[in-house]
Amino acid sequence: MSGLRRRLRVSAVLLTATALFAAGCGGGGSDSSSANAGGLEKTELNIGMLPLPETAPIQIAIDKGFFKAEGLTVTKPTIIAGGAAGMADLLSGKLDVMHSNYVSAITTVAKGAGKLKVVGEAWTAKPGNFALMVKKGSPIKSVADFKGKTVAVNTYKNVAELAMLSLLKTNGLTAEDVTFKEFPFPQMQGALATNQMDVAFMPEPFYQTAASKDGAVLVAEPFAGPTADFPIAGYLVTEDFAKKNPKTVAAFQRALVKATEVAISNSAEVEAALPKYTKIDRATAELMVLGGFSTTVNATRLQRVADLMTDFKYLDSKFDASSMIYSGSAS
Amino acid sequence: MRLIPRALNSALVCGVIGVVVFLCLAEAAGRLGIISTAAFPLTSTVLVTAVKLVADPDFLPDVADTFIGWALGLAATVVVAVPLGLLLGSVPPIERALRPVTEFLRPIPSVALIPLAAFVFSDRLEMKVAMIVYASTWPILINTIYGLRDVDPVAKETLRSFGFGPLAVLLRVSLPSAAPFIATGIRVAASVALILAVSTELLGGGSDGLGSFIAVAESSPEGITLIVAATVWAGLLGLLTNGAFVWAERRIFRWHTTKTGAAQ
Amino acid sequence: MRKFVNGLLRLWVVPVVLVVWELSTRAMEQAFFPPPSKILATMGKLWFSGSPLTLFLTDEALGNFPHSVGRLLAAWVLSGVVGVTFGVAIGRSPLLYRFVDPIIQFGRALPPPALLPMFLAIFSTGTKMQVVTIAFGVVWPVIFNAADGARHVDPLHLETARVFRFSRTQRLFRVILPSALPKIFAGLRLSLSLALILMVIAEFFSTEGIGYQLRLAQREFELATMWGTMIILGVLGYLLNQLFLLAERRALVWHSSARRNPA
Repeated sequence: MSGLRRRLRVSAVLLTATALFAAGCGGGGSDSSSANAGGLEKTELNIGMLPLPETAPIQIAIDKGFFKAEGLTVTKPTIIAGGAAGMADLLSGKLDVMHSNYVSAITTVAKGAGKLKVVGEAWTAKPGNFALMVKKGSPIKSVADFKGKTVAVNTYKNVAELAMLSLLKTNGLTAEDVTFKEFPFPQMQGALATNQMDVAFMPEPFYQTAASKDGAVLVAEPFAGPTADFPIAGYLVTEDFAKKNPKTVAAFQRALVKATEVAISNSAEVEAALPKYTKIDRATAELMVLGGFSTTVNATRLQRVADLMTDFKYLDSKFDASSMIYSGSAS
Repeated sequence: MRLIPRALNSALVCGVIGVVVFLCLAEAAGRLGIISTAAFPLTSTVLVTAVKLVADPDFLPDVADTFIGWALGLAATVVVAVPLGLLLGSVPPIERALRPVTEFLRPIPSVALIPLAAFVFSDRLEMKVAMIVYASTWPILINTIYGLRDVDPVAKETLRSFGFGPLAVLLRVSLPSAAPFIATGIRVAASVALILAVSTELLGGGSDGLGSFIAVAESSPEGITLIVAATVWAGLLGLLTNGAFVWAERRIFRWHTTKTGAAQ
Repeated sequence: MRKFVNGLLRLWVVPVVLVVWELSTRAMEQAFFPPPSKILATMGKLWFSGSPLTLFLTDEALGNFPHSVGRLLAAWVLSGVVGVTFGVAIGRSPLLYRFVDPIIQFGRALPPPALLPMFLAIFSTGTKMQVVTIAFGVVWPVIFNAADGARHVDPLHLETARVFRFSRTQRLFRVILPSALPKIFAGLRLSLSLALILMVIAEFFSTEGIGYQLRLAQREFELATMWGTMIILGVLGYLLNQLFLLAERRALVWHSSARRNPA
């Protein structure tokens, strides 16, 4: 009898624990302050981003006071981890706006993990932004030689791998012809030099450094042909946030576009911004091609990303990417 | 019983010699090409970078953040794990009933839980503390249970025959006797907690701590050297905290050390 | 038979947890927290829908699980041998202890994820690198516990050994090791489940294994698969621990009986 009572007590404890746990899952609310000039629903923005060149406009907007001019307070961008953990930050309300690549964003929405809206574009692949590198003296001279080789990408099942699959297809190869390996970008250069992989998918400034230091050779541009001008990443908010804070989103968009225009027209501004949130020094920054900044989200191009994802079985069915583009206009 | 070398001096000297020899070996491994310098920086390069980091205005606050998260996390772990260990260790039926759950949870890597924790917690420090508690509870819990099992049954029986209740036996015999075990558990937990603090910062995002410093360093082609240098700092932090623990343990358990004639 | 039934009854807590889990996740309706029924269905489809010839394991399971477990056990044995040898040595020799202590304290505070590049540079990718990474991560609790155990040998026992003129080896195997055994086992048990965790980390840069599957599931936002992989790790950990306890009980029979019947 006492055994039963004990059992009941234990399950009661478990239930309480679960209830507490569930209560913790509510997600953060948004505190709104109405006492501001533009009638913004929320003036303080937590922006999460990866420390990549493509997020320079956020730093520029902070430094030049573009956010402030719109009535927004953005102190310091939060550096996020990529993938599921970063997405969880946005979905749980720790972040209001998050920089993310489109493949992750589309996967999240398509798999029902969260509802997201794209409120701005960060980066579109332009020639010179990314490169497929091989070791000095490697027999690999073109994509056709990739058969049976190991290709390093920074993240499995993401932009890099998707672009590779498309490139392989254009060259008459399939996913079965290569082995993908995950490597963080800073480790690729050394790993390539020590034969841990045959081909490395690298962005700038990593590929330039690999070339100048180890004599690594560029075999191909990963974004070419069907993936030319491929949209890489954008800024996301949750659907819920977008609905509740249309004016804040519009203010963010205006500041972002202004900062992106600065980044496009004056690369010196980007070079000055980079050391503030990355460990890319000025000298390395000057080597970079940049030029992938973009001010508009292009629905047709975004749909191309989703279609490629369906073609290469990232998604089970066709996905309508236009549903993710934020269209709410606040005036 | 040999003379106990008490002079801290010699421990320091020996330790320094040991470290220097180790560093020379590591440097030689790089210079002789056993470890490719293309893939991993030379020991000397790492050390120079690690020293230079002190001048980096972002770095020391990061170290402080990691330390605070670590300390809070470890304190929370001790508060949770020691009483739980005492309960499970002294009431075997509960331990047996919960064992499937604890043994199931224990090998689940906290690294895998970080995305889920990121979703549950809306505060980063809370999340860090929670991850630390999850991962470093186990060494304390297990050591406490083992420690209680190792208590001298004669002492317990003696007290019991004098009419002391189970709680008194627990507090007067079992706890003091298991204390060195628990202390070892806490010391192991302390290093696990440090690893978790850095890993959560690294994989869970945020702008503070050694982990985020490493995350930002990944943006640079020279990142590897910076990452290893920051890791060296994590190791130093572990070295210092462990030293503090050992020192405290020796003071508190002097009676135990003398009783068993420990060779230190 | 009775023993078996009793053993099963001891697992009563498992269905309780499953039901609570199912109900709370259903109430939550969060994609990040799928209900266990969905996770189990996903696991079944992915890993346990193979032919009866292979115990219903799919190629996916056979291509990943045995490799991972093999590496884990190899690394655990390696760390056990190295850790006990080293631990007992520094436990008995204060001089050696003073020389290597800072290095050990430093080494075990290094986060293994941050050490991966070093192991990759030395061993490239592959089984050797993974085994070393796991062993490096789990050797510390073994060293500590072995050292503590060897250090705290009852002086009376050592005196007795001296009176009986035991040789060094005899003293090691008859007095020191047996006396340190409970602590060594505590260390080995800790390192066994730690090894599972390290296995996952070591397989991040691999192309097969349970860790790779977990990584892939995270990347693809396959949350049910992600949870499923964690369940596999949990079950694996539980089984390994049970086997370990069984072995430990056999090995320590004399110890507890000696303690319990101080005749």
